[in-house]
Amino acid sequence: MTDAPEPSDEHLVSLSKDGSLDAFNSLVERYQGHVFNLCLRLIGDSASAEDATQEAFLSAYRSISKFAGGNFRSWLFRIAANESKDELRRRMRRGPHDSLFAGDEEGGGIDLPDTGETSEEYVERLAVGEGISRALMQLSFDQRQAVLLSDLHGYRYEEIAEMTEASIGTVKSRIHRGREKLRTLLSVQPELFGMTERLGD
Amino acid sequence: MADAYLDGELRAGDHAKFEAHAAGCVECSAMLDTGKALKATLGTIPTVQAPRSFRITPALLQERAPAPAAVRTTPVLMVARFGAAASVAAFAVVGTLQLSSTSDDGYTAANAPTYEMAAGAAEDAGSGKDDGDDAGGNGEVVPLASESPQIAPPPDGGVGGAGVPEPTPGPDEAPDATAGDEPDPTDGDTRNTTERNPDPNGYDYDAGDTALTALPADGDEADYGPWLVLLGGLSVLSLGAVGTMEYRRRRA
Repeated sequence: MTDAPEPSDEHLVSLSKDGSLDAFNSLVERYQGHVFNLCLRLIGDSASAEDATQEAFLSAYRSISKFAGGNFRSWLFRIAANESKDELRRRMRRGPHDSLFAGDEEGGGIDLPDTGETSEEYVERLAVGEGISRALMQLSFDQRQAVLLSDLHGYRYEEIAEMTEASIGTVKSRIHRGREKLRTLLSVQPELFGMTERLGD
Repeated sequence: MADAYLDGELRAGDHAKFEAHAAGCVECSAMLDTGKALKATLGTIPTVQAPRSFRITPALLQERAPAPAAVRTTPVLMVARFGAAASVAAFAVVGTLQLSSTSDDGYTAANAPTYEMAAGAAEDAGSGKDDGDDAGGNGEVVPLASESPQIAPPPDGGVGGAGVPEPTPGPDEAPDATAGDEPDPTDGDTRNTTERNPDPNGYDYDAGDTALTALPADGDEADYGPWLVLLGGLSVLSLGAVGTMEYRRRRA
């Protein structure tokens, strides 16, 4: 006996537009991991990322009637990026007392791969994640957003342009400049590239 | 070009062309290597589990209701606010001017019974019925009339800056004071002149007399009534417009 197929995003969105909170919460459960990770990498702090994620879903629920179709996850990511930007502004106003590089442990733990990762590899991956997060936070928000959407979430330039309301040329420029800066920052941490090479083998 | 190549964003022809070029170019080849390593590194950023559920609940919706302060203020509303404030301010200024003008007139009118009283007292004195102790039974002016006899009049008959006439002229002055009751437009001035200056043709007025004779000129002051009505109407209209706009804005 097979499980019933998951309802599509379109169907859940349609039900949500009709006022079904349960349908919308199904979308929340489907995408909360993606949204939280995006917010975490954009903001660099787990607690603030939680706030931004919650606000993003609240905002999405309130404006679901304005969703004109298309990729729901992209629409959600656009809202999440805006909320992250607002959250960073609020943090700037509050002062730089909050750590921008809170450990991932605060966020509920790293997802261990099903392939079976040793504890050494796990620790090393944590270090890589933290090192890259620190480097990412050195980029401008727009560069960080473009690089993350491209390299972490696999979006194409055209989709990123639509999500960030920028031209494709601007997206290319942001990705290029962001990567250039990352290359410079990470070049002083060869251990990060070393691990990548091993993973790439 | 290298980024677009690595991201698979080049068209098929351009992709093959760049690949062929990079194979023979040390610089581009090195750039591609580091680009691939970086892209792979970014792709290994650990995925973090959501620390909690972000489900929406009715309580959460109520708790995080959007603040009304987030409503935008449009330029039209700002102009309307400024206009309303300006018209109300202008109304207040003109109203104050009008009130001050009215208050001067009121003061003159309030003095009128005093003149009557004074004339009445003078008449009484002239008829010999009362020697000033009875001020004519006018309750409002009793204090003034009753105190007056205790105040010695100045030698020149001056009555001070307020121009209040002497209410209890002596018996010798009674005929002149009685004459002041005649319906002469210069009634007050004549009476005061005769009361304070034995010479009926004298113009030995002090400052108080001058002020008193200048009183009729108050009627020549600008009348702010029309302006008051105009600005009042404008204030009501502008406040109503601003109120309507604010109401619609907050309901939106």
